[in-house]
Amino acid sequence: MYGLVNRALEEMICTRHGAETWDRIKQKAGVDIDIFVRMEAYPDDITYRLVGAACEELAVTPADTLCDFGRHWVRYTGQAGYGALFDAAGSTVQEVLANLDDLHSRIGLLYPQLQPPSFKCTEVTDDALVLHYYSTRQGLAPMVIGLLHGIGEHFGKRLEIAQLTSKAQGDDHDSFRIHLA
Amino acid sequence: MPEPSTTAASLLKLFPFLVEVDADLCIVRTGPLLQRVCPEIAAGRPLSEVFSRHGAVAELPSFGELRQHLHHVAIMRQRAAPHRLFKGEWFGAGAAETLHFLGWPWITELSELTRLGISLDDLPAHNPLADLLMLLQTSNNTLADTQALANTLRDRSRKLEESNRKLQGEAELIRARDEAERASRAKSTFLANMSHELRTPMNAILGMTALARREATSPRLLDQLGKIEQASNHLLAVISDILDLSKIEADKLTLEPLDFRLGSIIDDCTAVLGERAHAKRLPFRTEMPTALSSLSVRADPVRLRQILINLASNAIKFTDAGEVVVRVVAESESATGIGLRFEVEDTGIGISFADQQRIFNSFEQADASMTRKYGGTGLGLAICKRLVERMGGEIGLSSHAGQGSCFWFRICLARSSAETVCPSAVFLPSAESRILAEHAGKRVLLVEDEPINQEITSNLLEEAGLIVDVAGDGVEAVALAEEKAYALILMDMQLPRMNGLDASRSIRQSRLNAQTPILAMTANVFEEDRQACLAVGMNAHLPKPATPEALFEAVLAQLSA
Repeated sequence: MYGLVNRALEEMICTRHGAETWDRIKQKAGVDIDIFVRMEAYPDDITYRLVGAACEELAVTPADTLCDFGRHWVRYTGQAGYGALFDAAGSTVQEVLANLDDLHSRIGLLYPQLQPPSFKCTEVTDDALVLHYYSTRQGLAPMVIGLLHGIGEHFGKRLEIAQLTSKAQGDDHDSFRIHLA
Repeated sequence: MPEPSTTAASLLKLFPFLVEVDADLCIVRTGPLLQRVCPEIAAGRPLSEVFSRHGAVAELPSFGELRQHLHHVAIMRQRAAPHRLFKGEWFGAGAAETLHFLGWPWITELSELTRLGISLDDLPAHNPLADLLMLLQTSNNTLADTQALANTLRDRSRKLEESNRKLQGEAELIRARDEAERASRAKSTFLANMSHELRTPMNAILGMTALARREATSPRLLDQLGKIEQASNHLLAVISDILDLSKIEADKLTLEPLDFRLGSIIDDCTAVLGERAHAKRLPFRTEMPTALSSLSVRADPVRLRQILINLASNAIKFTDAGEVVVRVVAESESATGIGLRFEVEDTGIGISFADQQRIFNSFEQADASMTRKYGGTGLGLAICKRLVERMGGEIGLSSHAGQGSCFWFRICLARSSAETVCPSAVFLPSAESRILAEHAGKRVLLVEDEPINQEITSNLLEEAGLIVDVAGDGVEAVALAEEKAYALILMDMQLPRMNGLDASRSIRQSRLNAQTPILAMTANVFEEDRQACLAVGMNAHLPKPATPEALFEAVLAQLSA
């Protein structure tokens, strides 16, 4: 994962729990990196260890941590200078979700080692849609749920999300029914 | 506006900031994004009204000049917003009497795009503007991260340097401390050895002289032996002074606070020096309020006595007529302590102003003739000064040559609530006779390796009625202690084969003498030696050389305990 992801995680922990908690998490995870360079690609394992250590330190489940992180990611990338990219991706939740693959393609130009997920929207209505999520990585569905909430908050919408299929349960991909409240 | 040709229509799609001008350089049409972002750049307006040329020459070229410079870089500045530049090229579509400016606003930040209200969808897919802006943003992020890393590295280096300096400083401190400890141990060992080497033969001289005087009957012999004794005592005084000064200057002198009655110090002075003053027909007076005399204080009485006796002894020595007065007054009082001023005043020869400046220095007497006339080591006042300063006080004098002197010192002593009073330095008479009366026939063990000291001490003890077994070393002493029960064991410390400490430790494990009093007799007089003796179970410590009276006193105390 690119350093941008680990930096976002660091910012989330530091803002909510303080720098000392983050240091303890890094120590617990066996991660001896002072500053994550945003443009540098780090092994995925580092991110997984950090998330695991954070769950232990904060006594929360991995699903909760990932969901919180997903929500935080939308705000963090906006502040890191990519807000315009997000703004340009659409003016409604449905537009943005429909343009997610294009968005990731563009981002892939900047981050050559990006292995982005893929998204597809079906059954789109004015206030609902089904989002299909495809990824080579395991266990990040809770993060997608958090991302969706983040996107909804960006547009001032509260989203009701129900997971329809789950890779963790043996399905071939994850899918979510989203209702805009 | 006439309908654009197919070519022009495609150009409008591909270049949404397009500007088409006619031969009069009048705007024919503009691209959809330029219309949205800069509506004032409208068809019908002269180009020069809305744009100026970017560069040294502000005037726009003519239509003919533009036609000649097609496909060259062209940069125009918007007059209504002078910060806004448009970069592109002039394009002529075949023989048409119009030219097209194919350009884009010069934007360096992604946020500017958003501020202009342009979304990614507005831009043709082929256009890399937004992506390049994002790349620029990402590069800026990387630069910021690199800067942060460099700062962190700099901080780390600085902290490492500080840490290294601190460690080096600590290492040097440890080295200096180790060196100081080695030097201190060396000093202690030297002083201990010197003390032993000097005092042991003195013990032999004094002891043998005392024995000889006991048996001598001839007045001439008695007189000669008296002179030997006097000279030996003087030499012993010099040795003691030198060792004292050495101890003080090696920082090895420890004050031993005890609870005592303040008046006892003055009483001891009178007892020791009264005779001497009387011999010179010199009145010797003490002045001390009764309240002070009965005051209980906590201090080192031995050292306090030493200072007063030294000063008073000098006063008597240097006064032939008049009187010597020892005075004690209270200067300040508190709940826990009392500030005292001691004075020794005489009507003697006095000290000149010049001599007063160095009188407290070591080996300085007022002048060399003093040593010949009055004797003395030249160390007494130096020792007094250092002792007073160790007690936290100050010492001084006032004097006029030929008119006498007043030596004074001021110290603060802590009040004591204890009722016990330490024994005076003036020894009680007849300890020998009391041993003879109360403990005759008891068996004692003398452990001493020096034959002369063996003879002196065993003779003295036998004359007091005791039965004396002698062991020449620690091993022999332990063996004897396994065979017989003794009333008292006198143990030297520096012995061959097994030293006094180890021998005492073994004897404490024996069946017959585990509780037998053990009196350490040794020339080692340092506090740490005394503590070492007590630690192995010895009962008392008697410094050598000891006078017969001191020996009898110590033996009596242990036999009577």
